[in-house]
Amino acid sequence: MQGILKVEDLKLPDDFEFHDEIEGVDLPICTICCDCCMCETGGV
Amino acid sequence: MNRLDYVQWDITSACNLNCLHCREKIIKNIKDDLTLQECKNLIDQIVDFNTHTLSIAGGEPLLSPVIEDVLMYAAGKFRRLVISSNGTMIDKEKALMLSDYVTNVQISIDGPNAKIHDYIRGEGVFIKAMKAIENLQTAGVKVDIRLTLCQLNKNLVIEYIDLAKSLGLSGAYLRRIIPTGNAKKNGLDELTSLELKECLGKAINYGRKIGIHVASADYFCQIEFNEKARKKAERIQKLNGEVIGGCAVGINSFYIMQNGVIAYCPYLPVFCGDLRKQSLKEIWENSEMFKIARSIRFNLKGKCAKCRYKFACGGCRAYAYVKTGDILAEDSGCWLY
Repeated sequence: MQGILKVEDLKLPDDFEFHDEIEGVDLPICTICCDCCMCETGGV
Repeated sequence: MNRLDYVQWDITSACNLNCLHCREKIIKNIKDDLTLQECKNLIDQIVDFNTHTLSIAGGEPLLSPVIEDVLMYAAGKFRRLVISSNGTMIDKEKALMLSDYVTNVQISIDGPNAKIHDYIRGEGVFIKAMKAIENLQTAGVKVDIRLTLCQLNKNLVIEYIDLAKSLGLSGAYLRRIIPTGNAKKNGLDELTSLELKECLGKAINYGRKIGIHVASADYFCQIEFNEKARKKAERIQKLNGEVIGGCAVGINSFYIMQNGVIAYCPYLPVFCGDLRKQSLKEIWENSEMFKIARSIRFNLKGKCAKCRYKFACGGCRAYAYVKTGDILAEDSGCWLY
């Protein structure tokens, strides 16, 4: 496994804008699932 | 609190292969893997979120000494319980075992023939994977295949879809390579954005023609080739960031490593929390990295920042980071803008 990174390693800008009030679209039960995917539907 | 729909879990880092493109550098030490009791505790915590999909991978998940007990415990608790395997260990007995517990098995197949697949994964692996698919189908398990797209196999996608058809599968999953881990070490190159567009377009259109569902995780691919997805993306964009589509890490999904560490993504393992020290709820609600993940779309750079599908897609942050060292950078693998 590659090394685990810390948030500090990302060197985000000081003016990074935080938004708390967001929601994701529903992740439907797709017909194909990947082993890594955080995709919305998994398929086209 | 954000809803948690999808969890990906690498249950072990142990693997019997050392694929040229693996995101892991080969590790066979499994001493740090979660114990069975810890696995059960994790499953209980995930169930509390009403998560609909638990996807278990590795390493090779079937090498985990607790895999059968874990599957038995998880069975029936999720609408989809998925195992991703290299297929080398799925004999008739294993296939029957899996049929008792999982809803799907995904087998990694990196090309339409032994020549390319075995070049990437090792001699004799293709024939074992084909046998695994046969055993799973005989046992009544739904099987999909997955290809990691790179320069080595980009010209073989039509033959690949034909293979899926000849195996009697309903779908095939194509994912672009993220040049990290072994892929980076071995110089397995990614496709340019235009090559990717051509390749995925060819595969999807051919799949439609012969009745094979071709999937890709990249949301920009869906926007390009699926009218329904494109209209949905346009609706999402109008909400101006209240609702986020595309990659759902930290929004309604996350990734767990074999030792209980929750990380941003398998390809970009930024620490989010440690289940051996914190509860899942605590991590999901308070992780600094998840808060960043939920806000990334508002901070993107380059063409992703200007893209008309910024909130609906946002590109792959792991790809951007691997290519530039900046998680906010544009996804240069995308052709949309």
